[in-house]
Amino acid sequence: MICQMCNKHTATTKLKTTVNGLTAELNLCPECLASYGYSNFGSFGFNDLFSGVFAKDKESKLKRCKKCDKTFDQIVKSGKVGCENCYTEFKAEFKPLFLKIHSANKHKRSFDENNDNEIFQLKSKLQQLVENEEYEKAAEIRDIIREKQGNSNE
Amino acid sequence: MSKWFVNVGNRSDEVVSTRIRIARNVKGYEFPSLMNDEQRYSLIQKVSDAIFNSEFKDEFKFIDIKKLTEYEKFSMVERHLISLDFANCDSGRALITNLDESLSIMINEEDHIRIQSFCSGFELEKALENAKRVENILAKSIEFSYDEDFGFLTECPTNVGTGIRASVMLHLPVLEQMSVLDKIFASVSKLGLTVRGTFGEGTKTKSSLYQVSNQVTLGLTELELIDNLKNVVNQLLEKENQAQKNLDSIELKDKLYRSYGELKYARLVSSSEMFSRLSDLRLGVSLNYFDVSISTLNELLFSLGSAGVSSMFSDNLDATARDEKRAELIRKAI
Repeated sequence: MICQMCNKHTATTKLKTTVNGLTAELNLCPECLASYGYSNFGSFGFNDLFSGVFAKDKESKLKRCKKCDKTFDQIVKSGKVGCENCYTEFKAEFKPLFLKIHSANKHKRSFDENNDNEIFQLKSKLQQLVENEEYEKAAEIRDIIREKQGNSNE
Repeated sequence: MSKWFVNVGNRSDEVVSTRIRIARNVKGYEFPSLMNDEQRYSLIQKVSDAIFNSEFKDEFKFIDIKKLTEYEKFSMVERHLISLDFANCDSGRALITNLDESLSIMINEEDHIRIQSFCSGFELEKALENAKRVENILAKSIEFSYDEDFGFLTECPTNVGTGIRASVMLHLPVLEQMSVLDKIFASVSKLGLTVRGTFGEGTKTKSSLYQVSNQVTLGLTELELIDNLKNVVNQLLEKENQAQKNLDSIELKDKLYRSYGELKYARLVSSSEMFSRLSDLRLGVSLNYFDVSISTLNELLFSLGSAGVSSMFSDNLDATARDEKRAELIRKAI
């Protein structure tokens, strides 16, 4: 079977796409397949990066994320984290993994973030004050937020 | 509206493009691989509202992936607007892009939100600034998943922290020919950066184009990340420039002019031949042999792949017809 893209080399893989119920099939040689981005299947290089960082003790192995129910080993095997809460639940397990991937395990804030974080905290405080009907204080916080947002847009 | 790659930027003959990708996820939703349809559509609505209720709404348009033809979709993959994975999925994902495609947002791909910013030439700061502008618009009504210790949270741990992937596409024809790239790339990877050929992860490249990007996203600020990349790119370009000067000769000039001639007169041009000749032309421009516009080279590079050509014509073209049409379009352009 000849590759349907270049019409030169032997096709080794069939690429099948289905859109709106219509299926299209293309028989491709390795080179043309690669030109579509399919040179490696699965999470490329992932297993190399993640080897040796599975959960160590039994307790760690059994722990599950309270929101999405994944275990740390499942995350490492699939290469995908289930939800934001996994990072909180498995904080201790993630730290050595990050050292391996990034040679670092703590985030360094950029200038904007310091500002943004404050704004979020102020916003939740604002909400609380409004719920408690402390409108004067709420107005003050609202003005501070406006000022900070104005600064970050410069 | 012409696309971003038609513009000429800083050092455009050696650096084809700069790309910044920011990954963000929305608080309160599970990451994409665990989302159900309802959550997906809710998130698409959220992001869409954030853009189209803002003062920037006229700059952007919403693309319904389902309404595109196969060729239109893969043509978008060819010009790096969307990933292959994204193109192959038919539901629960969306794309918002500005008119020249220099700014786009993929929704529910590997992360909830993937902002992409392109600039022609070597423009890391500008691309970052543009991407951050989109992030700021979204941040006004969306709270991102963020951890005090780990920074911005992503589905894949390799993106945690800044969530930023910065890449620069370089033209390195002479270093490639000298077979020294493997060694150079090995030392680059020790600096937390990675190099890959255009399209795919192997050593195969198109048009002698290589993407240098950061691999590490945690433990450094956005500006530090960009600076590291900038330094390495400058060094690579310096090496390539030196190698080009050493190779400057009448033999090389002849070879490059012949490629120029081929493109000007050939009646059948395959995509792989086009990529190879475009590289020769780009080198010819770098060495001041001839004066072809970089804007034209970029346009041909990004628009005339297999899907690109096919998407321009309503009939289904076979390979030969495509090659003929491509040759025609090239002759008109050069």
